[in-house]
Amino acid sequence: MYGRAGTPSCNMLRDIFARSWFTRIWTAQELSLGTDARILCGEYEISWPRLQYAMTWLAQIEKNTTPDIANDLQLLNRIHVYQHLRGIVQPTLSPHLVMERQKDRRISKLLALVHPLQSWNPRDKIYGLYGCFTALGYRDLPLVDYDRPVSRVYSDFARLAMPREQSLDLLYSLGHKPTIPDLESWSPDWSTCGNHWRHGWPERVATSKASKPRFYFVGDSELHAAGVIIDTINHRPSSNLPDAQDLSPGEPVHGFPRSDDVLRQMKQSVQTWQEWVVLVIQLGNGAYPPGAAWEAFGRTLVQNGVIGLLPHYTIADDVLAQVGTWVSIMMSSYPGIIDVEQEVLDLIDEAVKIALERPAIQMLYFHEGVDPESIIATPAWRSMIAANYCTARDLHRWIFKMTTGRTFFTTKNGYMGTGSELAQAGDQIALISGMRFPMIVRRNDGDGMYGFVCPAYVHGLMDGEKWPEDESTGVEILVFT
Amino acid sequence: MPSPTKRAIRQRLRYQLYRQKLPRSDPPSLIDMEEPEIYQHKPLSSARSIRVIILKGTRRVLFRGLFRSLPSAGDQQTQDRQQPPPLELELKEVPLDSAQSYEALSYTWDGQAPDRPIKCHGRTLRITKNCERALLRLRKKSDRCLWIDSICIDQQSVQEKNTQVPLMAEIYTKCRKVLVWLGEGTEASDRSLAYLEDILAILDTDRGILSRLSSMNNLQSAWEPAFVSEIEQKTRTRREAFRGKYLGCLVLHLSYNDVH
Repeated sequence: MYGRAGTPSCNMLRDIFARSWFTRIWTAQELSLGTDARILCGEYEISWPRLQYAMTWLAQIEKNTTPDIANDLQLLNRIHVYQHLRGIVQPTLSPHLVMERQKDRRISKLLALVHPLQSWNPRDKIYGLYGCFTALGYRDLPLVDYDRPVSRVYSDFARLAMPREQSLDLLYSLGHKPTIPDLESWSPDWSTCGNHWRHGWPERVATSKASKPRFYFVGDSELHAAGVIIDTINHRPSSNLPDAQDLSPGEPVHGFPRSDDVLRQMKQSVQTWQEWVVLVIQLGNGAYPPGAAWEAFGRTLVQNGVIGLLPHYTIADDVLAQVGTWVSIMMSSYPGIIDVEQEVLDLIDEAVKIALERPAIQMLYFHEGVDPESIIATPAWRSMIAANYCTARDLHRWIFKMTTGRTFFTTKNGYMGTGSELAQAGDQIALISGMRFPMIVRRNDGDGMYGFVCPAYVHGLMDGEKWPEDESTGVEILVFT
Repeated sequence: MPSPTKRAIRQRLRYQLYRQKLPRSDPPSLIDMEEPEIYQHKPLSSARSIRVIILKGTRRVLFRGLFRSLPSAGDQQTQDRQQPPPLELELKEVPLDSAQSYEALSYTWDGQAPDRPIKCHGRTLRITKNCERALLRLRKKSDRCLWIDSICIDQQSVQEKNTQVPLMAEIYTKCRKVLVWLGEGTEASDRSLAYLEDILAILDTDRGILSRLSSMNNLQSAWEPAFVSEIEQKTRTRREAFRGKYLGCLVLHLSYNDVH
């Protein structure tokens, strides 16, 4: 009940929002369709709009009182999915948001929103949303058939949704580790419950300029789309970042993660980031102007500071300028690559000193029976703690959030980019007509066709710099299976 | 002003009262004593029909229970009185387009096996533990009309699932209320819901103080004597009782932030 320091802990609220109800696809639809929804927990009863109202205030208060805590209200992310879906399905419930929600009333947006939610039967990731699709005005959906293979259910739906929506936006949901066999590469695997990239695909990015989507399906398995292959991934690091730490679904969370787990993840993160820095050094200036490589690196990691879907979701330039400090902190335990200045070492010592005074740090790492000295002396721990508490902390938090589940890569033409962990060296980068982000694709052996891997961010291509001036000659029809 | 300890005591009492309402062990074995006869869903007569649950209210079940327990020994009788009467329901087929009013339950199965017997048309129907708890919570003195997927759809029949699942959109759109069952209360959940209620009570009467609180950039200033006394003055003129709640709210923020 009480945290280790004797204060009532945030587990209090977690006990409600970590409940399994907040993780299921069916419950999302059920809540979004009803006009009057009431929450029952034990003997308490509260209506959904009231709960939302109170939580918004709590969020506001926390945001203003502790801006340096980048916890970003993990608990609220969960309610947010439910509330947003409710707003999309029943726009009349919040009249002041009708215009904003109008552009979200699309299958691709809706499916991306509920991607983190789970279902016992993978078919329910589609069937469990039929009510929402109907409410959005989509008729003649494929018949519900629980005997049909999951891969067919997913690909049938993608083949139906993309032409109806007149866009390829569903492809932005690709890039999770596949779990369903025999699924076409152009059909997202909804069973994966992926939750990386929850900051969305900013609409200000236009890799293919203002081109219109041009695609058609041939047979059951071929997607023909207009596009151009422009580059090849040259290197990617061998290690990946640890999996996202989220509230574990199901059981309410009590206590804190074990400190050795946290330490192991920290080591893995720092080591992976160090490999990224080494790649940048190997690349040199690449395709960027002399001396701009580090800035390009920082911007690549946080998607050029354009984070969410709304125009005001941008990272300030002075935050992006912290990249030099961040790189030095990360490389402080990787000798021989970068000369880390004494200034940075002092900064780390100071940040660690500040951190050790925080009760949260004490609680998280220094359990009974753990030798604090050995933890404090761990280089990865020092780097991570320093990054969290020093002047580069704002940038660090964005990097932490934006790179979870993703990998860094450099290309033959000297660009830097990030994509899902599935991207491998040798994969190609394609610009597809009508898509705002470049796609990483992989050539099939022998038949000259391609398979989609994941969407990517490639710094220096995002405003259509490489999109052919003359679409009639520069763009070809690529075949994806 | 209620001190935190008094508050905690109150919470605990409320929680204990709630625990008492729940069965301590398995539900009374009314059904097990008789020959258990498994309830079979009757096929639906039309593709646009649904079944609704009539959850029997406690009043009638109590009345029956009274008669049943009359001849038994004294010990047995007191035990019966402490235990809630067994759940009993009936299923009724109605056209989806009818004006039948019902409330739809939203809850999770959590992979639980349906192993809790309840009475349905006098026969045995097995439901999951979570569903049973929800029904116990929802049962009133009078009958209540509900729709619950695991009971209203025959889970044995793939054919029926294929026709009923597409109807769920309409089922939830037309229901009078969606009842979200998050699960049983714990001390932690009760306390946080009580805080949320407090915050809502403050918002309903005076939003100014919370917006000032939310615009402060550190909590130190929230504890400045001037601010605290202002809260006290304001609340004294409005309602004495709110004073504690404002401060309780502050305590929540402090504790909530402290842990991160």
